[in-house]
Amino acid sequence: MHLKSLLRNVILVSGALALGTPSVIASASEAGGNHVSAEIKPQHSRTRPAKKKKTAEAAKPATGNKQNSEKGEKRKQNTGKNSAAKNKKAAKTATEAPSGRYRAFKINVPYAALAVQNLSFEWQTGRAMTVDIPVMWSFSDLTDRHGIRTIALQPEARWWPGANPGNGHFLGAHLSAAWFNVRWNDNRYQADALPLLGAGISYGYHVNFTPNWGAEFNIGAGYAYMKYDRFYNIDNGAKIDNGSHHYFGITRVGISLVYRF
Amino acid sequence: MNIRTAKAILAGAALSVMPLAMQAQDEPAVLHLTDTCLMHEMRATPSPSDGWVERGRKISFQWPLATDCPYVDAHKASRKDKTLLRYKIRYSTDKDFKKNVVEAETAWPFYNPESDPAAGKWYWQHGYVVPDNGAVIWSPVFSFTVEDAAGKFLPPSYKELRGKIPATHPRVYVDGATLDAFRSRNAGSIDANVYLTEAEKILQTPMKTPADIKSGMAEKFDNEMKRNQMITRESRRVIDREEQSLDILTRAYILSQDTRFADEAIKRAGYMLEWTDDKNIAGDFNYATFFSVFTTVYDLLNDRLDADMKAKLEQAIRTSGASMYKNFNNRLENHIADNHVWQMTLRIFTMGAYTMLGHLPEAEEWAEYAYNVWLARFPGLNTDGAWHNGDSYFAVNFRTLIEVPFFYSRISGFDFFSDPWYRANVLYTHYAQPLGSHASGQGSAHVEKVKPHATRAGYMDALAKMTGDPIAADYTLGFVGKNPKAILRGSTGKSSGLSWFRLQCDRPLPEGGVFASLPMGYVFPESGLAIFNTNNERASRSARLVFRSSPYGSTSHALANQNSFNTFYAGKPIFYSSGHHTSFTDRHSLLCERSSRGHNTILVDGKGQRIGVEGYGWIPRYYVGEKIGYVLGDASNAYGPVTSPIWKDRAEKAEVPLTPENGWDEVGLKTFRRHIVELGKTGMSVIYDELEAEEPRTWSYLLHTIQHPMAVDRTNPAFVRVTGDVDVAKGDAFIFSSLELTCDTTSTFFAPAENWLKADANGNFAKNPDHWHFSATTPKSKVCRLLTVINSYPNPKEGKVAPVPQILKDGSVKMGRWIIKANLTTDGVPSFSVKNTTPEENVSVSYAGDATTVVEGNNEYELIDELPSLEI
Repeated sequence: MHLKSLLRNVILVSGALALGTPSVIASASEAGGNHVSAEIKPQHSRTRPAKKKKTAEAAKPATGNKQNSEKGEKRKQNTGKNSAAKNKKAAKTATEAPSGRYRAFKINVPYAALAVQNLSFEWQTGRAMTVDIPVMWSFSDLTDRHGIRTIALQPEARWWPGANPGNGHFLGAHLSAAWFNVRWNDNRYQADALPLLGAGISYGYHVNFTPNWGAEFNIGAGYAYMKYDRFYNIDNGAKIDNGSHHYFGITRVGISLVYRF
Repeated sequence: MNIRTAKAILAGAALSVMPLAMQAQDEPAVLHLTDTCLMHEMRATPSPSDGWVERGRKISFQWPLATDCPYVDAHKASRKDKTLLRYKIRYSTDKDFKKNVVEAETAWPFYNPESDPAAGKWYWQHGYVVPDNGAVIWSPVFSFTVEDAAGKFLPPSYKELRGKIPATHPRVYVDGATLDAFRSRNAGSIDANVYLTEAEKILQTPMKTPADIKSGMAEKFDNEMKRNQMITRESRRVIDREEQSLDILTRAYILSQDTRFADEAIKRAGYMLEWTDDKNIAGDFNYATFFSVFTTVYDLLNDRLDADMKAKLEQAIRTSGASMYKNFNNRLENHIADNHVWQMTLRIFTMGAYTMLGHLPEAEEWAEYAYNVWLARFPGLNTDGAWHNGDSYFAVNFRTLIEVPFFYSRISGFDFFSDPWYRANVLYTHYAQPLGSHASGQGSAHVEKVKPHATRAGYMDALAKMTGDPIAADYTLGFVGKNPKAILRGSTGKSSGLSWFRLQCDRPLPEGGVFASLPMGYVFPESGLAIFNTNNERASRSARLVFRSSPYGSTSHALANQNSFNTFYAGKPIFYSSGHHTSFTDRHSLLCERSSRGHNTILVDGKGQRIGVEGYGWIPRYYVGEKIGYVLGDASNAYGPVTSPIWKDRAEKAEVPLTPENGWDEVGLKTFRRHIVELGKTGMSVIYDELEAEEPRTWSYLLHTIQHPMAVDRTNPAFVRVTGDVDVAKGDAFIFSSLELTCDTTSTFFAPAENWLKADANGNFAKNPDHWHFSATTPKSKVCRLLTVINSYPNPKEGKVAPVPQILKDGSVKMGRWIIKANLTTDGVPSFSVKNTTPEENVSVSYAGDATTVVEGNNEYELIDELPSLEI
């Protein structure tokens, strides 16, 4: 498959309008695109199980460094505690009836059907304005030789002409960022240090079924730029070359199930 | 959770890990092996072995021949007529085989299931069918576990492959369905030009015939083995030449469609049909060569053959193919590594068998056997990627290693290069002979392998393209430099030329750029090899140390050099294995090249290690980090009289007695453990030998050079300094001992290196040059501990001298930034420690008769013995 058409497919499949583009991916080491040196770990033969890998740090008496480390740990624990408290509060809030201002969680159903997990949170920021933050991710392959791994973000600002966010038509402007690792037939494409970046505009319509449940349809178009490295599509396949691509076209597509609270 | 609950949980957790901790404390650090051998010339163990856990590849069931089976009295089922041999195999998830049983009957002592058994625990057994009454002698029940794992190597069954073989020709040596694309892609390529240019020359060159074989050269020998070796070599000189001409003509025709090439090839093949019974032609290679010539013509020139020629070819192929198959089946699959077959003849047999499918009924059995024996045994014969048979003879396998899996991949669509062995083999191919470096010297015929041959780069080029490995790409690019034609030397050769592969392969060479980031060393524990390079990018700045202690012992082309090391600088061998490969078995090759006396190891009472798998070593511990490397070799079981029947027979035929006078006797060795610590990338190494025998023995420490004599300096009473010189660099060995050392140097081989076999085309025999041999021998002592500091370095600049160890007040040794302590007395436990004194570095290795402790930065490892995974 030609790279261009492959990327287009990838966009439509995974990204959704979100970006229409390839999307992401996991860490380079996980994907195996790194230099082989990264995979040739220091070798050693069998070690005594009880002392398999003892750090010298741990064997040292308590030093200033260690105390610092303990302090850091303590701070971290405190942070965790605060966070837990906040979550508890949020959970309590979520069980209450929808508030007056529009806030919703959404799942883009076609993506989910294609094993691209996603979740979007949208909230009202003004009389006729909302901000929508969809996050899409996929960490699994479709087949041995085909797979789209991605993490994509596509924040969008929306204007609701009827000044009634969460109901009816809306227009939006979005940005796209995606890290991707796409394997397809002989090649694997992986985002360069720079993720895919893009922007576009969109149109959508929101319909409510109940006070809590509804659906949203949207489509958007725009531009995306990506730099990628091309690898052999095998485990730890070597890099073949690199390239870049300017994409113009559909950048967001969605049929979402909406839960409003 | 309240505090009481938390305490209860903690107490429970502590109690649960106590047995684990106790077990860990009880685990012995040192394994004393008592096995006569770790590997067998012929399989004596079942595979999968009892309790085996398979994570990497499809299960293949293999078992001993009836005559070799130590756990069943199966001799009643053995037969000289191989066609009568039958075996049963069954496996099930039920250990009583009452349900979910898969059972099969085979004609060979192995069975590859059509599909991999599902994940879980399985039970299996094999049986020998008694021809007289059909009764089955079953083996004990063995268990194995299959685990699901990503990237498992699961090749298709033969049935699947067979269904995809095209009916038309050419189909084996090139894909007939894509010939137009093949020709247009390769038009003008340097590889295509080799064929076309050479083919034009061949058209102008008369054939040689069996009458040109100088068989008279064999008449001067009384010894039959020498006569056979000479006539085989001289007949190969003619037959191989004509085979190569046929190879080039047939391929030139495929590339150009120029009928002159095809007509000439058919004419020559017609002549060769008359040669097969010529008495001047001897040796298994020559018979395989006929098979290769005839099947190549049959496949590539099929459209040009008339019915009469086809019939003649089929008859000749039937005869030679049947002979090869008869030789292979019920032997090859269980042989530790039949050199010639794995090198070339199995590839030739495979290609021929698939050529003749649909034309000769017996080809069905040949093809099925060839495929299944490949799945069962090849490519690596083990999994670590190294070539146990030594680096020199590794090269004669290149075409087989590439062309066979390439053919199977093209036909089946399954990537046979995804076998993890290939990526591991890339590491071996680089580390064993980096660009610009002499061969590592761990097998016979290594002395003349001064630089990597172009075919080695061709092999790495193929691996890079087929596996995408950037190390292989680096190697290829580094070899070729700015001259793409550099890779063409020998590229149409019989054993290792890969021009034809390159024409068929349309994959690009991947990017490299990883040499600089490769680790400072690599250990191949199954093959028993450890290699350290201080600079993987530039041989000219690299100090190398190669160490061998191998479970394969000294059979095939592997030498009796357990616990031996070779050192290099700038690619030049400093302290190196000595001896010439005058032939596979003759007086010099057995007593000098193969014998332990030719290598940088130890003689006990002047006696060396057994020849055969019984003379084995192994690598129980190793560590390769960024700032330090460590390897321990154990050759405690290697010494003694030669007991291998096959080697005793060979020596007898060569009229070389394997007697105490020649270096083999019972010496009652209890321990020979050699610890090597590689001091980062300094080019310095520390070697600590712990030796012990049942009775007092002399201990001879050996060093050899092959380029210049060694200089021996005894002016410092603390050590003996031995210096090797390779013009551009030098190497010092500082030897410390508490026992008095008697030193000797000589340039005389124990047995003269007479070149009696290898004449050039004009019948001239080049003289084999001398090598130099140093020994430092102790008085008789039950215990001996030796310490050696090795330093390999470029020639010092004007006014500078190489560093010399300093003896500190506490008796420790300072070399560079390293402090070395060792117990060199004959009392107490053997011990040593090596530590970097640089304040910011926390790097050390220490040992005191138990585990070895390696510290690097924040990590500390207690290494204990581990026997590598071995079978056959």
